[in-house]
Amino acid sequence: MILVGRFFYTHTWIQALAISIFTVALSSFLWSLAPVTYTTMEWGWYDTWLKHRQPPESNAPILLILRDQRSDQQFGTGIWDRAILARMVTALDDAGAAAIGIDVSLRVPSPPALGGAVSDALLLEAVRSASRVVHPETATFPVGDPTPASSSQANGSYPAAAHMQPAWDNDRIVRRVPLFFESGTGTIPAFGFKLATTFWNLPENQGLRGSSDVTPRNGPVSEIQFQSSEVPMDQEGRLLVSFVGRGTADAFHSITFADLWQLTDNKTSDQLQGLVKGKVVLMLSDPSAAKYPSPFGTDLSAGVIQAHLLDTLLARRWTYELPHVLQLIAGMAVCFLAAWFLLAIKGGKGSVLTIGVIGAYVALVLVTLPAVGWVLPLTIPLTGCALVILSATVLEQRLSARKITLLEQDMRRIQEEMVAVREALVCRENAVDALEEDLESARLSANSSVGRQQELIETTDALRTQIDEAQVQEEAARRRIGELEQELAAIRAVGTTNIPLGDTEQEHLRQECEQFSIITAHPHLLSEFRDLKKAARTSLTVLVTGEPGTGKELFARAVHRVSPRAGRPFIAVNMAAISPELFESELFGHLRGSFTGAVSDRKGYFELAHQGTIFLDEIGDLRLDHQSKLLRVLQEQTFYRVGATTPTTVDVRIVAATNKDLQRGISEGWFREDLYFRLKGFVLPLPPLRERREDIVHIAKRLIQQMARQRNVHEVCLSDDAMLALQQHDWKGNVRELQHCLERADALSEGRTMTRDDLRLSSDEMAQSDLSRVGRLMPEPAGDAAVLDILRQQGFDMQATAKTLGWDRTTVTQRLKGLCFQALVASQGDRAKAATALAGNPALVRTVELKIMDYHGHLQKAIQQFSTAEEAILDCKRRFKNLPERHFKSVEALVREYFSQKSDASLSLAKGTQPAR
Amino acid sequence: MTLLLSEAARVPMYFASMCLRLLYFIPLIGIVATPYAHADTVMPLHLEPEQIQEERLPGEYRETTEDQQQVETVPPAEEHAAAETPSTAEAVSQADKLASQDVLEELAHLRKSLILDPDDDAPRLRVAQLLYQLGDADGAIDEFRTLLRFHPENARGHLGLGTALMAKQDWRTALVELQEAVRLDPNLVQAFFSMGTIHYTRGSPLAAMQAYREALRLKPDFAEAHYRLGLVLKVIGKDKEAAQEFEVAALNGIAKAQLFLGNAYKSGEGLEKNQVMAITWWSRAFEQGLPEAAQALTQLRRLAAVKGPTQGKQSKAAAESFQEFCHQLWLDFPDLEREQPDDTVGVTLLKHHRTAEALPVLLREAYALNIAAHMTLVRLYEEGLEGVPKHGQWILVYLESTAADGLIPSRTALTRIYGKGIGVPQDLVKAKGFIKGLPKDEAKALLDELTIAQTP
Repeated sequence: MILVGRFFYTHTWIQALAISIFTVALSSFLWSLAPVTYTTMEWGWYDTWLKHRQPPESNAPILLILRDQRSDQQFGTGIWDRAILARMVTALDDAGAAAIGIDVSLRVPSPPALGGAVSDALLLEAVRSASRVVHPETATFPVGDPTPASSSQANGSYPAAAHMQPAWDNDRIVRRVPLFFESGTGTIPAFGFKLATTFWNLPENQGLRGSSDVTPRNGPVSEIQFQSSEVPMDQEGRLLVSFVGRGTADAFHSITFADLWQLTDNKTSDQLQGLVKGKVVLMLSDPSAAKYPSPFGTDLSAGVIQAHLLDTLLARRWTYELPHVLQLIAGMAVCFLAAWFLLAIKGGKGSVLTIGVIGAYVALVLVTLPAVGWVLPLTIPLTGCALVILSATVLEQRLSARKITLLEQDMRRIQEEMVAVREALVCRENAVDALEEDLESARLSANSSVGRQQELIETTDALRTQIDEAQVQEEAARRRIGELEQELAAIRAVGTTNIPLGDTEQEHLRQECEQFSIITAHPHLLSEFRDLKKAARTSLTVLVTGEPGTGKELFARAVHRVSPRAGRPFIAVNMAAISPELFESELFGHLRGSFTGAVSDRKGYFELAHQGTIFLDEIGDLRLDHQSKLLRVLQEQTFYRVGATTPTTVDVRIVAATNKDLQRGISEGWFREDLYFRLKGFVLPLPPLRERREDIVHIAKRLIQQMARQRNVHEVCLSDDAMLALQQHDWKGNVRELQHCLERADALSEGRTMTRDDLRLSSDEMAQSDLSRVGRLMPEPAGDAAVLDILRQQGFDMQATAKTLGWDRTTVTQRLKGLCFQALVASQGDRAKAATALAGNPALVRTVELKIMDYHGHLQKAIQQFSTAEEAILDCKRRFKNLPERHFKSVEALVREYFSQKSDASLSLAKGTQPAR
Repeated sequence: MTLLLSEAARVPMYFASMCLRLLYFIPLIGIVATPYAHADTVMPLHLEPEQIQEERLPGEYRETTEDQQQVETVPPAEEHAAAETPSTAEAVSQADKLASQDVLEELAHLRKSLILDPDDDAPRLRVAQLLYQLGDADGAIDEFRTLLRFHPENARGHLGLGTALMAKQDWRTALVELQEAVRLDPNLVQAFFSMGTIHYTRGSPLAAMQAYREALRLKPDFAEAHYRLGLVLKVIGKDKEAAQEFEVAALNGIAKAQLFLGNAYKSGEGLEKNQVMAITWWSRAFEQGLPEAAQALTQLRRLAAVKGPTQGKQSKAAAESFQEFCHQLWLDFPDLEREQPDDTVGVTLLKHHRTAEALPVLLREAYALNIAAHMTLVRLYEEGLEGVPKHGQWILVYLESTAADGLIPSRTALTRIYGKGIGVPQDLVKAKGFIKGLPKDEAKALLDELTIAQTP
């Protein structure tokens, strides 16, 4: 799931695809709620085009027989006696009509006034004898197409002419005609289609099978060679009618019934033959035929619409429309392009391209209909595009925050991997060093003992092999570091975390910091503050690390104040100050009577901080058993009050702070690893004051202002030399020390100007500070401080340091080894302290500590075979012959301490065993 | 056939009747609906089924039987005034007036009696029937309803009301009344017959069929019911059964049944194809003045008239069918002997001085493309015969009708008649019009003959 989310957040085309699918689905759903409006909009262009185009003429062999006033005068104004039609049908058949259509259903009986069964039987005989007559059949109405209140139904009779009925669109306009209808006996073709199949002389079953593929066996007229053709029906089996003319019957060749009767009366049939031979003759005699609204705005009878269908089929004048699926795909394609341009191309250019896509599609829709007869979807793509613009804007806002979080996660992961690989590298380096020392020792032994030469050669070869292997491994690890560093650099380049701050932004951030009493102009710290603001928007756990007096609590309060929980309580808890016995009661609360003295219910700090922020200060000083209790709360936000049987759930944002190295705590076992990973959602390492000396002046000024305000006196000024002294001082106690120093100087100063002397800064510190500063500025190539400084700069990477110094790597290793032994002696064997002293940067402490452990371990391993310290020192002199003399003293001290401890241990062992004897 | 009139009186009247019949189908407008056209399916109220074919409602399309045709003085197509001779029309009008006066007098008398005894069912039933007969359907319905208020169990009252309601096209109420009539008197044939009509009109052919069959169960010789049943059977596609019903009706003289039977023989729907039988039945219907029959015969004649290389199988078969039809006419006259193979029945009858019998047979034979009969008729027209005046219009009608069908002998005869002014005013233009389409030799001979005739 996380991977999918990451994939989504990092790939624009996936976002565009998701937006297009979403918007098309949403617009389809929305339009499904208003089908009439949708259909009106969708077919608006089609209807307009039909009305305003140059009306095409029918060139199909169709002849309509229509009623007119003269016919009504001759045969009556209502429904006619079917015997009249019977005679006309016979005459038309004799004259050689290719197919004859009548709009009179043989299933509906004639009333007695119009001949009754006699006329019905006459017409039936005429139809049978003519054999090429198509008449309305009984059919079941297609679902969703209501029967018009037409003549047949109004009379209460069965709708026998149903297969003449066209299909209504949702806006009650007829544009399509179903080609097939379901009847009681199976599928029957539409009236017009049946006429066409009769004209083509198709086999009966081909017109009935419901397939769009019609292949006429042979045409009734030689010039009509209808090849196999696909009739473009929609999913419901309907054909979009290509109307000719203005949709009325005038678009076709026609004569009146009176004229036809006159021609029938003439004994010479040549004229009638010339008129109807080889044509489809459609007799529209029903005066009460149902009318349907057409796209032209006029009402057309079912018979005329069927004539248009017939013309469409005979002339193969197709108008195509996309199937529903393709319509959706087209809509999605347009929306995808619009969304992709919006998301991928920032700024106005993307918007312009999006509008261009929409415009191009609209132009395509407008052009394809008149040019190639394709009706493309318009409403859903346009609505989808409008939704795309909205969705893309919202998504972009959401994504930016999420992308930052992901980049931070990536950065942390790679940093962790780098640390791990660096540790591995250190181990390899150490192994190489140790092996080199062993090799050197072996060489010396070989020189001194000829008899063991062969053995030594073998050992040498073996060691050489091991060295090669270790070097290969080291090289691989080095490459891995290089890759990871490149990756980290790439992420830093992409992410906003390490985007260099502009002057305006720095000033803006500085002012914001001041609102939270954080006085700094340090770019790194301002950058961290910017990250803090982003992280504060979520409920991410924040871990603030840094030396005492660096302002951890100020940052913790800032986290609370910039978060959405600012209006809720901020509870600060000093974990070191809580009594171990009352730990649970203080943090989680208790119920009355749960223990002696619990006279009432009490809410714990977590409960008090509900929906707010709890600041767990000095988290590194928490006992292990308390750590496990805290872990559960951090994990589930649920705890039990003391004495309670039901859990209490809270919504609390955790901000923790410590001045201890928790990673070291994990390695040394005094801090739980799972608690550490739970806390380090967002780690905020605060630099010590000595690393941001430019802030010292500002902080000092602010402190002096505060002191003056508190004492209600005029504020004093700092002399230039005092200012310089403040900047040069190391401030191991950071701001707190600075504050005390200034308070002291304020008390001691006599005038309104604070001098260097008033500060009473110790000269040693000054000198050391000066020295270190000078050393940093002009490193002495061979000096320990210079080497250490460069080692720190290079993250204790031997190879890089050697390259910087222009030395052999072994020399650098020897120098670091000496420094490590020296630091060990200075810290009286405490490896952690020695590592802290050497590392300078908390992030490097673990690396240095590993090196110290390794060097010290190797030394102990080398000297453990000797019985006395002198022997061991002698061996060490040979073994560490490249070590500077000043460092060898440390080796000597360590050897002596080892043997001293060894003798103490054996002494105590002897004492311990004596009573047993 | 029974001849009720004396031979001398019948012949001229018969000729007039035949002329009218022939003129009847020429414009072919007899199928245009009339206000009471539907009444052919409604049985007259005061009549039993056997009387149906004798009495008709005013303005009704008249279907007559052959027997009737012998006794009636008015031809069947009397409603087509254009074809009527003035004397005949006046006679009919006079007869109708007299009948109406009688009805009105009876009506006045019955109303008086009803004032004295309003409860009396017989005079009220008669009043209602007379009103219906006069065309006052609303008045008849009121009287029937009044009768049923006093006598709700009067089956004839329900029957009358149902029938009157049918005239008003209130099919549902009419059906209810007829069903009530049948419930009260299950032997009311008229009620079943009318129910059949209503069922068919309401789109229930199966129910209609059942009703007609019920009527036939009660009265098996009910020709009109056979015809109606045949129509319903045909409409629902049961051609074989329909043909059987048509045959019974046709034998009883129903002209349209004869037409449909002829059609069935022609198309082979329900019967074995037999063109001779088709011609026989069409001829009978044609003789009753049915235009559709005339049309069918005309088509067949045109087909048979095709000669020469264009003559196809169908033309040849049609010509042979007409010949066979003429041969079969001998079977109607078993007392006659055929002396020569080319002898015709009509000519032989003339030889035996049986003129009244000979003339209709001659017409049949001539219409069936028999040259000898045709020549005899032409001779009769030009010269006349004892009891048959020359220049008979009925022969002229025959000639013009068949000439329009393209028969060359008729065109030749008419060329001569109009060219020479035989029985008609001389009209050379018309005469030359008939020459068009004749073979060249014949046309030249005719033109020469006309030129000679014109020479003083």
